[in-house]
This record gives sequence, C-alpha cells and structure tokens, in this order.
Amino acid sequence: MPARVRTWRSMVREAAWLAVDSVRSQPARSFLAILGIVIGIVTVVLVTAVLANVRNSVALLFRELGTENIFAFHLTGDPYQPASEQEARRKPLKPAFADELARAGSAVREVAVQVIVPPIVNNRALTARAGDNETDTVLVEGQSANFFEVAGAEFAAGRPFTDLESRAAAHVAIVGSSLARALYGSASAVGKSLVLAGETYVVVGETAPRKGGFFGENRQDSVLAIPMGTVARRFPDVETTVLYIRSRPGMRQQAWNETETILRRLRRLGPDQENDFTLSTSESIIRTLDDISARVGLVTIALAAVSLIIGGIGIANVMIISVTERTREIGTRLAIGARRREVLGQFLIEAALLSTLGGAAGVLVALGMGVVLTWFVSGFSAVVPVWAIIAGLAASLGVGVTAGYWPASRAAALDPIEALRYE
Amino acid sequence: MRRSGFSSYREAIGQAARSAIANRLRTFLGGLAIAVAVATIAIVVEGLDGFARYSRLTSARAFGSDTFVVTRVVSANISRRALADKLTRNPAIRRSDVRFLDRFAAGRVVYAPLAQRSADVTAGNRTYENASVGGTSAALLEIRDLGLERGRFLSRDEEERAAQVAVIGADIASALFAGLDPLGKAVRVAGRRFEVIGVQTRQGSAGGASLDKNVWIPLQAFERLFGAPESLQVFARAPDPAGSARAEAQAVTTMRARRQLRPGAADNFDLLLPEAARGFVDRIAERAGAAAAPISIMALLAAIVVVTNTTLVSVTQRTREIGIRRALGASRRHIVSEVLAEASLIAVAGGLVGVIAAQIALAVAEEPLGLSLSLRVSTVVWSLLAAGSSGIVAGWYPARRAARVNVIAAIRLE
Repeated sequence: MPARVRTWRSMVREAAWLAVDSVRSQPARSFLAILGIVIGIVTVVLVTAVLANVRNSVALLFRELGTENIFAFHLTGDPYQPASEQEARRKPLKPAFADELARAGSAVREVAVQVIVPPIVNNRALTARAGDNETDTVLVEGQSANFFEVAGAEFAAGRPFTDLESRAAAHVAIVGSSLARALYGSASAVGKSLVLAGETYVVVGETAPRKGGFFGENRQDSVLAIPMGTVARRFPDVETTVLYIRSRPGMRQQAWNETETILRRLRRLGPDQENDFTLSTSESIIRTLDDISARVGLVTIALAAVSLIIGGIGIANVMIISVTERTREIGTRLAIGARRREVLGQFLIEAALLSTLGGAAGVLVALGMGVVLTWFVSGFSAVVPVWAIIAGLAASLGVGVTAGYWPASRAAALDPIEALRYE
Repeated sequence: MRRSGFSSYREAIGQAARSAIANRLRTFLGGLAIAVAVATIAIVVEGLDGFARYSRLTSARAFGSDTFVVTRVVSANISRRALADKLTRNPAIRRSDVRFLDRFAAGRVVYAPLAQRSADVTAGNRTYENASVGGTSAALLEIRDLGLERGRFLSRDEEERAAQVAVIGADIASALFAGLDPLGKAVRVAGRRFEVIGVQTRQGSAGGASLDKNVWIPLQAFERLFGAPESLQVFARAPDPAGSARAEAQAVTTMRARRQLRPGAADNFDLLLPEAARGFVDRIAERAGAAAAPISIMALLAAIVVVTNTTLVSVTQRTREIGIRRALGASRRHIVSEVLAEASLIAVAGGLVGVIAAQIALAVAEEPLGLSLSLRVSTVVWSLLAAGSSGIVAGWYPARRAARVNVIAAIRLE
C-alpha cells in the first residue's frame, strides 16, 4: 500500500496540488472567496497601521523633549491648559528651584527652566507680528540659556540664548518652524525682527521642524521663546514654571528620587503630606497615553476584525460547496485506501491556500492604500509596519484553517459507501 | 399567455426560496455573513447613540434644553484676539444686573444668578475636598433639574437675609454623613457653619465633571464667604417651554437697556445657548462615528461578497435547468429576477437575524455599561433596507451570468 510508506511531506505536496487544481477549476468562486479575505485583511491592517502611526508619532512628540529628562510641574497634566479644580490652589514651582536641584542633586546633570506665558495677558491677546504678517497661534515661553541643550531641540539656523542675554533681559527670540513660516514665509528668520506685546525682538535662532506630532500638529513648532530674564521683566505676573531635570547617564531613577526629596523640602511638605507637584518622564507620559489608547485600539481592531470573520465565513462557504460537489471523488479516494487524515489535510490546505492568497493580496492592497492615504491626507500617516504585515498574513492563515476545519472534517467523516452512491 | 407582474414576482420568490432551502448549508453561511455585518453596524450605531443620549441626559441636568445663560464672555470657538477684545469690552455682571433683569422679566423669563468655586466642606472630623460651592437664588430650582431627594431648596427669604443654609449633593451627603440623615445637621464651608436643608439625588456626571459634589448656598452668603465674584453667570429659562426664543430675545433686550447700548452697537455680554453647550458631546460622538462607520461598512462589503459567491454557485449548478427553462420560453428578465430574489432573500433573512442578535447584544450590554440601549424602529428599518440592497448588489453579477446562459450549450451540459 503506497499510503502507508508515504512521508508527510509528499502527502502535503499532493494535497497542495489537489488544492491548487480545485482553485484553478473554479476561478470565479475562488476569486470571490479570496476577495472576502482581502477586504477583511485590508480593513484590519489599515486600521492597525493608522493606530500604530498615531501612537508612534505622539510618543515621538514626548521623546523629543529628551528621554533622559524628568519634568517637574506643580500640576498633573498639560502645562498649557488651566489647572483642574482639585489642583487650582497649588502654587507654581519657582525658577530658582533649578539652581538648588542642580547643586544638591548628585545624579542631576543640569536643570533647565521653561516659563509659560498665557495666551492672554492683562486682557490682551498675545500675537507675534513681523511686517504685515501677524499670528495669534503662538506660544510664548521664557527659557533658561541651557534649555535647548537639555531638551535637545535641533536648530535649523541660528543659536540658543546666552546667559548674558537672560540676565540682561535682552530682546532676542528663538522661533519654532511653523511660527517662522507664518511670519517670514520661506525666508530665513534669523536676523529678522518681530513685535510681541508692543516690543521689538531680534530673532537669533530658528528650530528645526519636530518629527513627532498629533495628526501632524506639534505645538513646539509654534513656540516663540525669549530669555527667562526677559519674561521676568516684561511679564512679571507670569509664574507657570516647568523644570527640565537632566539626569547623569543611567541615573534617571536616582535623579527622580533626589528631585522628589529636594522639591518636598523646598515646598516645606511634612512627612504625611502628599506631593503638591508632579514628576514625569517622556516614558511615563507615553505609558499613561498607552493605557488609554490600548483600550480605544482594542475596540477599533475588534470592529475591524468583524470583516475578517466574515471573510472566513466566505471561505467556509466555498469549502462546504467544494466538499459537497466532490462527495463522489472523496468516496472513491477513501474506498481505494486514502486515509481520513489525508482527506482532512487536503481540504484544510485548500482553505489555507485561499485565505493566505487573500491575506497576501490584502496586505499588498493595504500597503498601496497606506501610501496613497499618507500622500494625500496631510497630517495622516498609514505606513504599514512590518509586524502588521506579518500579523495580517498570520491572521489570514488562522482564519482559513479555522474556517476550513468544519468542511474538511465533514469530508473526512464521509462514509465511502454512501459517498460513492451520491449523485 | 401573459402572467401578471405580481404573480410572476411571487413565482420568482417561490423558486428562489426553494433553491435557498435546498442548499441549506451555503444559504446559512451567506445569511450568517450578512447577519454578522448588520448586527455589527446596528450595534455601533445604537452604541454611539446610547452614549450621546446618556451624555445629553446628564448635561441636561446641568443645562436644560430650554436653559440659557447670560454671561460676561463665552470663550468657546472664538479666536484668541476676539476673546481678549470681549474681556476688555464686556463689563462684569453683578447682582444689580440680575435685579434689573428680574424687574423687567414680565413673567416671560426666570433668572437665577450663579457664582461657583471649589472649597473644602467639613462636618465633624470628616472632610470633603474640593466641593463645588455655588451661590445662587431660590429661582435656580425652576431652571435646573436639581433632583431633591430630601428636604427643600433655598427659599426667597433665606436668600434675602443671606441665611447660613445649604443644599448638598449626593457624594457630599454620603462622604460627610455616611448613611445618617444630613437634614438639620451642620456642615462647615470655608470655616463657616451652614445648616443642611436639602439633599440632592444622584445626578451622574456631565462632560466629565461630577454633578454630585455641589453645595448650594444663598448668593449673599457666598459673597460673605469669598467676597463678590469677578462676574456672575445668570441662568435663565422661559417658564413656558414654547416661549424660549422669546425669553432669549427678552433677556438680550433687557441687558441692552441696562447697559444703555445704542441701536446698532454690539452686545457687551454673551448668551450661552443650549446648542453650543451640547455641541461638545455631539462632536465626540460624531468623530467616533466618522471612524466607526467606514470600518463597519467594510464588514457589509465582505458579507456582500459572500452572498455573491453563494448565489453564483447556485446559478452555476443550475445552468442546465436555466437552459431548459429558457428553451421552454422563460424570459431573461424572469431568470434575472429569480436570481436577484434568491440573493435578496438570503440577505434579508440574514439582516433579520442580525437585527435580532443586535437587540439581544444591546440588552445584555445595557446593565454593565450603565447606558440605556435599544434598537430604534428607524435603525431596524434601515438595517433591513441595507440588507435587502446588499442582496440586490450581491445578486447582480450572478444574475447577469444566469441571463447570458447559452441555451444550447446549457442543455448539452451533463
């Protein structure tokens, strides 16, 4: 009996040929079954790609603030937003804390200060004007001279502030790339002047566009930075302060602990009082965001997976039809000694073939659509990550085998006598 | 012999049904695909709607659909420059403005001033941190749905003599009095003693802010505690729901008279209308819908492909039968309508099952999610319409193939 001595490899090869034959002999039907899987895979892969891109882009936005930095702020949450009711009575941190942290923290390498000027000061909206161009989408910040070094921003042109400029409250400014485009068009901003709250400033630096963002938006690109000392002089009531604490290499946890201890001492907190400030790192912010986005992502991908399940139903449908049509053939094979396992394998391989073809085509379509979407919709990225391609192919294979199992086991369980009698 | 259109359709549907029933398994799978897709879409639609309705219900407690607010500045949806201009131009709203509004309300509008801030509230050694303390008048009861569980709201007399009385929210009652009856007991707000005269029922949260941590005290008592607020908000409502447009006009005219604005001059106060307050919730639901809609449409598309395949197989297997019937005089149209009927039958049956499954899923999810979810008649109707038209779309290609069957070749087929 040849069936006894055959290796499983030749068995698989034979089953695969049978499957290819069957697919070839029914092109329209196979095409439609594959199309169902294509629709499912395109939906799942594209949705996954969009979610992954939004997430990575947002993560990059925070990493660009320096991965070795610890951010200290008196409120929980976004320094550009007003305080929540619970924290409304917390006092802001003081810029002077920076010196104390740098002096007393052994794991602290450097501390930079960012002072955030609110968009409306004394009932007047802050705008930046250069010639005829004026914009009110501008975030005015005071920065210490070492800010750009600590936060690691790249310059497109020009230079950071000097200590002297900060101490002398010099009227110099560094502009973000969006702000530079709004004020000076495509010309270089460095050396030009701008008017802020009735005072003229000279632009000494322009930062390079940030890579991260939320749907293409990154407010760091709209920042108008002036020296800390200048803010103290021109906007004396502003006290919203963020401290950027840069740790020595590999000592971030220690720097965190030291910062907490020092700030508690500076804020005169008793041993049983809670922190009245919040420390964070780019990682801790990203982790918090991931907790939220994981839930949203799970629901969205589950919704997308419905299409794939329906594609699987399509495969099951074709397989059931195929098994029914070939009842006589299966009966004959079983009667002349084919084993049930072989029949099962034959139909499983046929199902897997259909769905994997669909999966591969779906991934290709998704890649193409991703490129087109990224190209045409600004601020939207749908570049398909490699793991999503692999996951898509694996999912299509899994769906095919699952969907094919029931028809295949029906085929394998046929009674050869009954099957031969089938008309 | 010419048959009437109706009996011809009935026959087509009968044939289609027989064909569908004869091939139970594939009919089942085709219908299942549609059922899954329709159920998904219906659940997404009703889920989003349920969420939007829940948010509207809770925000209606804070801001009823016929309530509006006269305020110094509404800051939403305007540019930074325009906001700064308004802040400079619009004077603060004070108690005297509210008295003026009241005097010329002419029974068409009810006004209640409101000043709010957060403060700790204590009773004995228990503290509730950051309660939302609101200074207001007795009229607020006629404007907002305050849901008093026990006791009563502030009275006009208490308001006038700045009585030290308070109505407290459910969270505060349970945190400070833990099961005891708070009525008649004392709470301290910013160190001063207030007698509890009313307790609110649980209200839920609106736009992420809890409505159960309110402490309502007379406005004059509030001003004694915290000083006069920078500007008051004036909540307003027409006692007759049909008169809300007239009430808004009345409020604007009265305020303009109070501020002695000349005709043509811009208002130096803002009106916060219910549409603007509701916009936020609707925008969120809209965005979620914008993402969910194309994804669930893809499911329907995949299901259409499955039904197409089912019908195509049915046509292929009956090629001989179709050929013979064509030879015996059946028209192309007849064959086409029969195939379309088969596809639609599968799809509509699937749609029906999907709608029922969606209803069951929603009923099961209702309790743990705390939303009120159910299928609206309109959803059922358009779900079935969507299923039916999916059937037509799915049947189109197989029907064309059936109509083009070569009669001679089909009969020769073995």
